[in-house]
Amino acid sequence: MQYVTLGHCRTTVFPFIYAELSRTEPSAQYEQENNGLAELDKALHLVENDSFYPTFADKAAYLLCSIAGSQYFSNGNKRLGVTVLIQFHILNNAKQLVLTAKKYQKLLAKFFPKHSWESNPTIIEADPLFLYNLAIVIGDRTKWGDGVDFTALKQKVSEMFSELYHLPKS
Amino acid sequence: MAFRLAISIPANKLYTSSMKKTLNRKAISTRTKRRSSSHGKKYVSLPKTLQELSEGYKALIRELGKR
Repeated sequence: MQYVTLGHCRTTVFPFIYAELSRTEPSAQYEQENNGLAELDKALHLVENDSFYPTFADKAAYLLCSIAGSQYFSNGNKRLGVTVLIQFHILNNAKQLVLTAKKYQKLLAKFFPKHSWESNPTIIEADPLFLYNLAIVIGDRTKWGDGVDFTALKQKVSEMFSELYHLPKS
Repeated sequence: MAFRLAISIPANKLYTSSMKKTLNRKAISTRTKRRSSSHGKKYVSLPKTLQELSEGYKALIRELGKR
């Protein structure tokens, strides 16, 4: 298993996010927030622990939930969480299930019935639209469901990911 | 006239028993194919770098910035 490091974030992840934002949008300068970097580094190390996160889906779910659902940085936590997740997939050459937007919507509703699916005309493809909705759910505790704490959230996301993503057989 | 006659005869009267066997085998094979294709899942990989991601993924990052 390959892991995203703080080095990857500095050389690849942060520049990718900066490049996609317009001049007028607020953007965290991730490198300038030392507390945020320290928290991010902790999360990136913790995910390597197989006794906490034994499967690829568990690890992917932890990365997304811990970063997108946190306030590590003053801004841009959801963007960072999604981009780290994608980078984690890229590093491991993960395969993702091809689904229609309707099926993604159904899957998300099964796990998070309090969320109303949001369409976005600029996100045409189904898989990024799913991640967009999932990041919104993770960033809004009221959409997690009654009695769902952070551990239960990670579990739900991990179950979804185990349906959607898998590693190629080595 | 012959055509009219053919469609008015029930299907089981039209075929000989060996033809029926062939048709049954075909029906089984069609059902099997359908079952496997409905359970057959298609997977794809992401590109090798973030920069090569599709416009949809880039829009995702931009749009999350507005949330």
